[in-house]
Amino acid sequence: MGSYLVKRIISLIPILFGISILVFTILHLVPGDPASIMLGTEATPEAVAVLRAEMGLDKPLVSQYLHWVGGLLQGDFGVSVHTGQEILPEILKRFMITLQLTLMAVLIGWTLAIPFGILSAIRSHSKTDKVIRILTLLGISVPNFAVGTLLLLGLSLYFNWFPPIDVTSFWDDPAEAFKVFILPAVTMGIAVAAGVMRMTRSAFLETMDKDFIRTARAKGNSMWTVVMGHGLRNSSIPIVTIAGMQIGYLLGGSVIVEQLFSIPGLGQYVLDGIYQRDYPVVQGGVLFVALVFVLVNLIIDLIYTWIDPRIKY
Amino acid sequence: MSTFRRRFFENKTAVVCLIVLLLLALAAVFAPVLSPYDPTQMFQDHRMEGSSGEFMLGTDQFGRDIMSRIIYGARVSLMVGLSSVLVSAAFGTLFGLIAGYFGRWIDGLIMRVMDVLFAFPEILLALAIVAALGPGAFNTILAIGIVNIPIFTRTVRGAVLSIKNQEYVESARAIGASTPRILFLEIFPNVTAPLLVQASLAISGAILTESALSFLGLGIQPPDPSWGGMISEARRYMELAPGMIIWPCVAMTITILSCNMFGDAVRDILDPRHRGK
Repeated sequence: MGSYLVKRIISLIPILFGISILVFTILHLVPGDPASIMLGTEATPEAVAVLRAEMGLDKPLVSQYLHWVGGLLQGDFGVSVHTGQEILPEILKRFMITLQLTLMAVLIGWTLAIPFGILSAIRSHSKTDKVIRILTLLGISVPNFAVGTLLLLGLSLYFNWFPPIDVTSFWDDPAEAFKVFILPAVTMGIAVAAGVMRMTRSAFLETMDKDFIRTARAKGNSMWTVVMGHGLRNSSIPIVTIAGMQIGYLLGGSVIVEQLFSIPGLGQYVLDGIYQRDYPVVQGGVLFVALVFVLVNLIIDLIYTWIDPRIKY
Repeated sequence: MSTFRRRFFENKTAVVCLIVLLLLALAAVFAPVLSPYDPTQMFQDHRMEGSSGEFMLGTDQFGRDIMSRIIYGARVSLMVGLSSVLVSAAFGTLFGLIAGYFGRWIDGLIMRVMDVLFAFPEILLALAIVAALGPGAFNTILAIGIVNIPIFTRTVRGAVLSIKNQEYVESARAIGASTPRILFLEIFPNVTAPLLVQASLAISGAILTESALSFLGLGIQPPDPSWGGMISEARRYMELAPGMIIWPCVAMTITILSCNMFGDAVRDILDPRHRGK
C-alpha cells in the first residue's frame, strides 16, 4: 500500500508537468499581444512595453514557462493584472466557497440517488423503476443553467423568494449560508443525483444477479439485510468511481452555476479572469482545478483498496 | 448489419428518438423556410408578448419572434454538436488506431497526452480554449472538439487492442499489406460499432457544452440566436416574460434527451453486454 502510494505519486509527476504545459500553451495561443489586449485600444506603446516587460512577455516562451513553473513550485501563482493581488491566496479563499457548494450538492445528490437507485434495481422493470429511470434521464438531459434559471424563476414568481445577495460561509453563519447555497446546491445536486442513480442501478443489477446474493437470500435473510450487508459493498466500486469524477467536475465545473447565482467561488474567479482578459488569473485558476481533479482521482484509487481488499496494487 | 437494422427497428425508443432527431435536423436545415420571421427582425410594437396567433411562442425584449429564434437555434446547436463530434471522432480515431496498433512508446506517449487532457473538467478546458481563441461558432466547435478527443482515443484504442491479434489482421500482414491499409481497411471497419455508440452519446454532451458556453457569453455571439444565449439574455426579464426562458429550455431538453436516449438505445443494440438490461 505504502509503496503503491509512492508509485502513484511519482507517476503523477509527468501528468502534472503535462497539465502545466497545456495550460501555458493554450493561454499563449492568444492571437495578438496579451499586453495590448489587456490595456485596451487607447494604451500608449510605452505603457504596453512596460506591461510586456512586467509580465515577462518580451522573453522567449520557454523561459516564460520556466519562470512560471518555478514560481508555482514555490507557491507563487503570480499576480492578477486587473487587481494587482496575489493569485494563490485569492484562489484558496474562493476554493473554500466552491468546496462548500460542492459538498452540499454532493450531499443532496447522494441522499437522493443511492436509495432510489437501489430501489430501482431491486424492483427492476416495475412501474417505480420506470418512473425513476425517466426522472434520471431528464436529470442528465436538462442543462444545469436551465435548471437553475427555472428554479429562480419559479421561486420568485410564485413564492416571491430570492436567495440572499451576500455570501456567507457555513462556519460564520450556518443558517444564512444555507439560504445562500441551497438553490445552487440543488441545481448541481440534481445532475449529481441523476448520474449516481444511473450507476447505482446498473451496479446493483449486476451484483444482485450473483450467487452469493441468492445464497444470502436462501438462508432466510430479509431483502434489507442482503442489500445492506452484501449488495451495497459489492456494488460500490462503480458508484465511487462516478461519485469521484463528479466531485472533480463540480469543483471545476461549477463555473456556470456560480455565475448564475453570483457565488464568488473559484469558477467565477476564472470566468471573471476570462472576461477581463486577466490571463495570469485564468492560467492559475485552471491549473489549480486540474490539480484538485488529479488529487481527487488519486484519493478515489485509494478508496478502492479500502472498499475491496481484494484489489491489491 | 441486417441484424443491427432489425434490432434497431424493434427498439421503440431508438426509432422514436431517431424520428425526433430527424425532425430537428429538418427544422435546422430548412430554418429559413419554416420560421415565420427573420430571427433578428425586431417588431418594436410587440415587445415581450405572450403566445398569440401572430407570434406562436411570443416575442423577446426586442420584439423578436421566439419561435423563429428557436428554430434557428436548433441550427446552431446541431451544427456545433455534429461538427465538434466529427472533429473529436476523427482525431480520436486516428490517435486510437495508432496507439492501439503500434503499442510500446507511441502508445505510452499518446495515452499520457490523453491523460493530461482528461485531467480537466471538460467545460473548464473548453472555456480556457475559447478564452484564448475568442468566441464564435468556429472556435466553439474547435474547443469542444479538442476536449472530447480523449474519450474517442480510449474507445478506439481499446477496440483495436482486442482485435489486432486476430487471424484476419495477421493474414493481411502476412500477404504484405501496408500498415495504413491494415489500419484503415482491416482494423477500422471493426471498431465502428463502439465508435458509433460513443459518437451518439458525445453529441448530447457537445450540445450541452455549446449551450453552456453561449450562456456564459463565450460561445455563439448575439444577435445570432442560440438556445444558451437566449436563456442568458432572458434572465433579466424573467418575471415579465417567463416564456423567453421556458421555450428555449424546452427545446434544449427535447434535443438532449432524444440524443441521450438514442445513444443508450444504440449501445444496447450493439453491445451484447448491455442487452436485456
